[in-house]
Amino acid sequence: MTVTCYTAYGLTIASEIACPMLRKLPTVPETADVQIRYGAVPADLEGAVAKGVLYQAKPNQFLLKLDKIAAFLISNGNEVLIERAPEATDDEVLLFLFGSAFGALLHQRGLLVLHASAVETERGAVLFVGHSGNGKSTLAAALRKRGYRILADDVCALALDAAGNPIVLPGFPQLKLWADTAKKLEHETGSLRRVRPQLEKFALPVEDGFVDEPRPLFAIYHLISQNTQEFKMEAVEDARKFQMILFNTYRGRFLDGLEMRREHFKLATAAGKAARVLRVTRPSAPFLLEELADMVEKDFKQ
Amino acid sequence: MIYWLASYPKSGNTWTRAFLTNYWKNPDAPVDINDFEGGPIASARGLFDEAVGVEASDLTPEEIENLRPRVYQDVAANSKENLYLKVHDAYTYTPSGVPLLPKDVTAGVIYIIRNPLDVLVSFAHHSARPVEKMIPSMNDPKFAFVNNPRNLQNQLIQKLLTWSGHVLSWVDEPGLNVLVIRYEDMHARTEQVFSEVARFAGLELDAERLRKAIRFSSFDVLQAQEKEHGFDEKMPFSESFFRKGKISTWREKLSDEQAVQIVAEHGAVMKRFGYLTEDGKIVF
Repeated sequence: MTVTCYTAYGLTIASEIACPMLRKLPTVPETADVQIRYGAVPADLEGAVAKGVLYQAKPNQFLLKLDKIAAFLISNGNEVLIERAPEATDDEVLLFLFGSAFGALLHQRGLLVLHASAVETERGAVLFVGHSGNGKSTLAAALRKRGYRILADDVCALALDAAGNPIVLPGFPQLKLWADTAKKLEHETGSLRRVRPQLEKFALPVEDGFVDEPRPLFAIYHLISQNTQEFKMEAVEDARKFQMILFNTYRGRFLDGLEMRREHFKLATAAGKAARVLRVTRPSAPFLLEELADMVEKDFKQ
Repeated sequence: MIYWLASYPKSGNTWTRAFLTNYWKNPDAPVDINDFEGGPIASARGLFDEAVGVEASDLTPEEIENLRPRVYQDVAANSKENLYLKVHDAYTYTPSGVPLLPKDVTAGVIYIIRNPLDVLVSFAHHSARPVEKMIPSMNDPKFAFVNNPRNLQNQLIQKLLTWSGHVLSWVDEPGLNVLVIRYEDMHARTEQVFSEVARFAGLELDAERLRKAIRFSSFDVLQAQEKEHGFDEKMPFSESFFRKGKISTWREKLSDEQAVQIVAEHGAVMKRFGYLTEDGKIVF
């Protein structure tokens, strides 16, 4: 089996599955931070302390099973074992590998993993959080069009630097966009890869517009789409910052099984203290994307 | 266990939920319309993503449908108290052949029914579509709510079937404990109907608390709240969610021909629930 080395989230990754969306490493390190291998995955996780519909978790181990796609066993924050279904395509396996599976791995490593898109600005990294459908990736893509570089999309990991300040780690150079959004931003979907053949959701590579080094956390914008007529931007203060970060943790329920709540609280507190946090409400329809981008851009530029 | 507050859209579900939440919480001021008991709706995307561990937005409609029963089992298993969940889906079976809303976690169903002619007027307003475009939807056995594959909405696809198909899917499903209430009776005999609802939902009856909950969930209160803060469940292009809350508005808004199209399709169910007399007169 050929092993290729990549980098994402500041980690070196040696993988048996080709990961075209990740950056390849020019030289192969002796020991990679993460090993991705094919192998048999158990049907159940013995001694699981928490379960969801498709996952089971206990300290240092996480099992995700997707019928007709793959089963993933993630251990100790450094190993992913994949048992793929015969009918699954590489794209399908990769979609869940770099979604929930890697999200669990980053949680295991004690990082602060948020459901967020992140963009580099002169003042540091800005994050967009909020419910699926509220425009996180869309806003990141709109700012990319304005020349800003992307740090992460969907799964965003933060760590503390040597001085204890929160930094945003670079994910990998790709944005996922729905057909309507791609059209709005004038990306021709004909040339883009669908994340799955059955879905109108596309992977937009952002090779040239990607930051491959950590950036200090500057601001978090909590995107809310509501049945209102007007845009609104309000500062979030004190304990509410912390709550907002907890609320926008990537698959927060995983933490119970992994028993990582304490680490998570510590990092969430540090991030909340350091960041400017804003609640941005926009009218749900029509989606006035450029107006939203103007407002956010004006805020982080001031 | 879950009590489903089930109805075709625009049939009084939110009113019932407002009542139940105000009764259950027994607060000093009306509960915020955006903060009703049981979260947003059974088909909310967030509820699914959290329980499943992967995002519905990465799954196909068939996969989502097959996983939804397990979401409600998970939600019920993780809740110490009874849940009251609003649902607009018809009672259907998934492609794998099991009920979308599993019976093993169902304590009961409060099914709210409303004159389909008034539903039509309200649904057209809610969807910002002309009445003549809503009639084929209400008569379409394949009609599904929130069904655009090109973008992401905050709810999952919901199969509604025809209006009659929706009613029958719930009330004639074997093995479900169903209380049927009529929107028109909620208006005419509010205290009586809502005390039945409270009793059915396993809540102790208290006359004073009942009257207060009815006051706090009155149409005027709900509409005033929407005017002030907006309501998350309003469809993007419609003017308001709480429109009139009246009965028989179809008599002003529908042409005879439009009414005939509904009665022709749904006469049998309308008769069964007292919306049509034996000799074909429309009640209400």
